[in-house]
Amino acid sequence: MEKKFYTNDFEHLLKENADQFKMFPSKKVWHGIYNDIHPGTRWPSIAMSLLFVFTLVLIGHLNTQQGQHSYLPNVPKNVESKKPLDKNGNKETTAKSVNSSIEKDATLNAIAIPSHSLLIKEQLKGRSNQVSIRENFVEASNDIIYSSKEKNPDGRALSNSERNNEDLIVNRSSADLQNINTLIFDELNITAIEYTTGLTTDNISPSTIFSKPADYNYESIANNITDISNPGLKENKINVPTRTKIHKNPKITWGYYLAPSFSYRTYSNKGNDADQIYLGYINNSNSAGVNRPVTHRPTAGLEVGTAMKYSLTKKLKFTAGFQANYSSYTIQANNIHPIIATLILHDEKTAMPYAISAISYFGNGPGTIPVNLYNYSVQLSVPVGFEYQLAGNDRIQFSAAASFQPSLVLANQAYILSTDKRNYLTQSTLSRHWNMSTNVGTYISFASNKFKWQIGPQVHYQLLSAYANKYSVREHFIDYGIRVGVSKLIR
Amino acid sequence: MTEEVMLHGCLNNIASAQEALYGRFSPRMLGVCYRFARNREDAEDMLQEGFIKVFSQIHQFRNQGALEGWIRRIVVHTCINVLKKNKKFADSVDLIHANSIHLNENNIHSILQAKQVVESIRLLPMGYRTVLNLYAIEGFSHKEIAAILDIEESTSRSQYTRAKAMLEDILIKKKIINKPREHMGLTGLTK
Repeated sequence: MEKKFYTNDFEHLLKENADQFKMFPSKKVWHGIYNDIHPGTRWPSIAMSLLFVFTLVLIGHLNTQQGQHSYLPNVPKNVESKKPLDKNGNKETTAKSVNSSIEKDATLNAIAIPSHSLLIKEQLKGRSNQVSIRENFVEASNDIIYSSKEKNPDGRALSNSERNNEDLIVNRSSADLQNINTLIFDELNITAIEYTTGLTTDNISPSTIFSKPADYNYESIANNITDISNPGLKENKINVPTRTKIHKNPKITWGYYLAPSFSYRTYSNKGNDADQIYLGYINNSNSAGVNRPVTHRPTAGLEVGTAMKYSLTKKLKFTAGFQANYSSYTIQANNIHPIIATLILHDEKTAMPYAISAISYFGNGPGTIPVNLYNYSVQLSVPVGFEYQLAGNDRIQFSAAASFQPSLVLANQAYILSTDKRNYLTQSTLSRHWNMSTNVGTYISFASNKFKWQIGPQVHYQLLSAYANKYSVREHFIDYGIRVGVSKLIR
Repeated sequence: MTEEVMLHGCLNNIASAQEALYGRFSPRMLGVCYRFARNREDAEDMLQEGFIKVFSQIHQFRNQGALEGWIRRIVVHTCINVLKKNKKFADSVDLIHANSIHLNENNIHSILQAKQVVESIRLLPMGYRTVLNLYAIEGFSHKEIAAILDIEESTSRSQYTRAKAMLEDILIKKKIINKPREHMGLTGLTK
C-alpha cells in the first residue's frame, strides 16, 4: 500500500513538473511555420539576398563596360598643334582636330610639305620600294627619303643629324602598290596628326588603329599635290577620318584569391564565475578564468574567394564578392567514462539562468587516454568593403583593404566546456548559424598586361561569438594569413 | 487576445491571430517536444511540424475540451511520428545506453525542479523515455501506447516499469525525491 501510494506520488510528481516546464523556441521556428501556411509571402531568403548582390554587381559591370568608339584619335586634350612658322620664324600654337584640313599658308615655305607627297610622287614615278613601319613608326636607315621637316626655319635644308629624332623616317624598299597605298594612308594620318596637332610619332599609341576608308582616292591626292619646291603652295585639304578605340581606365576588376592562415580563437567568459557560484561551486580552482584550465592549440585555416572591385576614385575602390572560410583550433582533452556534465545557460529574454545536462565523453586537459578534439567552422560570407592605394604607380602599388563580412555557418563542430570546466560536450544548438566578421590587410600588387597580382598579410576576426548569447563563454575565431590573389582588368 | 478571438482569426487564416496562438502555446509545447526529442534542435523541428498541423487542422477543433489539450495531442502525435520516422526506438541501443549511464553526483546541481525532472527524463533511453512520457505524463493507456508505437501491450508495460525504476534512481541521486522506506516483512527484516 505504501509502495503504491509512493508510486502514485511519483507519477504525480512527474506530471506536475513536466507540465510546468516551458522553453522558448527560436524565431526561425515561427518563420518556418509562417512560410508554410502563407507560401505567397515568404521571408527573404538567402537566395534572394545573393540574387540582389549579384544584380548589383552585374549592373555595375554593364554600366562601365567599354566598347565605345570614337573618330577622334587617342590624344591628350591639352595637346597643342603647331602652327606653321610665321614670317619671323616664330612658332605659333593653336589646337586643331585631326579632321580639320591641313591649311596652307603662303608663309609655310619654311616648312616642308608633308612627307607623303614625296613618297606618292616617287610611287607615281614607278619606283617600287618596300616600306615598313615599325611600332614607333620609325626605322632608321641610310636611305632616308624624307622627313616631315625638310628645311629648317631659315630655309636651309636639314641634314640628317639635324633632323628631329621624332620625325617620321621611312625606309623604303620594294613593296606592292597596295601596301604602299595603305602605308601612304597611314603616313597621311600620321603626318596629318603630327602637323595639325603638333604630336610627334612618340605620342601616338601603338594601339591606335588607322584604317583606310573604302572610298579614299590616293591618286586624287597625288594629283593635287604640288611640287615641294614651289613656295606658292595650294591648300592641301585632307580629311582623314580615323577610327580608334578609346580605352578608358578600367573601372571594374574581377579577381580570385586564396589566403592560407594560422587559425585560432579568443576565449573569454562572461559571467562564468557567477554561474559557478550559482551552481554552488566553491572550489577556487574552478573560479579561475576560462583560458587557464584549457589547453588549446592553433591549426591551419583557409580562405578562398572571388571579388569585384569598382573604382570610385583613382585610389579608392569598392569591393564586394563571395568567400568561403575554414577556421579551426585543437583542444587537448582525454577520453573518460561517460558522465553527466552541466551547462548553465541564460534565457535570452529574461536572463534567468537554467541548467542543461548532457553526457560527456571527454575530460578537459591531458589524461591517461589523451585525445585531440577539433573545433572548426566553415562559413560562406559576402565581404563588402573598400581598398585604398597608399603608394605606387601604374605597375606596382601598395594598398590597404578592409571589409565587413556577413557570414552563414555552413558546417561546424563545437566542443563546449562545461560550467565546472572539467568536461567537454557537444551542443550544436548553442552554435550560431549567422555571424559577422571583419577582414583587414595590406598588400603589394603587380600589374601585367592583363592581370594584376597581389600578395600581402591580413587578419580575419569574427565579431560575434561562435555561440549564442545564452552561453556565457565567448569564442571568436581569428585568422592570421597571407593573401595571394589575381585579378583581371575588365576593359 | 482571448482564445475565441484567436480561434476565429486562425479559422480565417489571419497571420496575427496565428502568431498570437503560437506565442501563447509554443513554450509549453516545446517543453513537451523536448521530452521526446534527442536535442533542442529536434524538439524545435517537432514543434514546427506540430504547429503546421495545428493550423492546417484548426477547422476540426470542435470546442470540445480545452484548445491547449487539443494542440498538445497533435504535438505529441507529431513527436511520435518523427521518432518513428527516424527509427529512434531500437531496444538494443537503449540497453547499451542504459548500462553506460553513470551519474557523477558532484556534477549534478540544478536550480529549477521542473527542469531537473525533465532533464532526468531525457537521460533515459529513447524507448523508455517515450513510453514513460506517454503513460505517466500524457495519460495514454498501455493499449493506446501499443497501438501508437506499434508494439505489444506487454512490451509497453515492461518498458514503463524499467523506465520508472531508472528514473527513480536518477531522481534519488539528484536528491529530487527521497529514497522510499524499505518494506518491512512480518519478521521485521527488510525485503
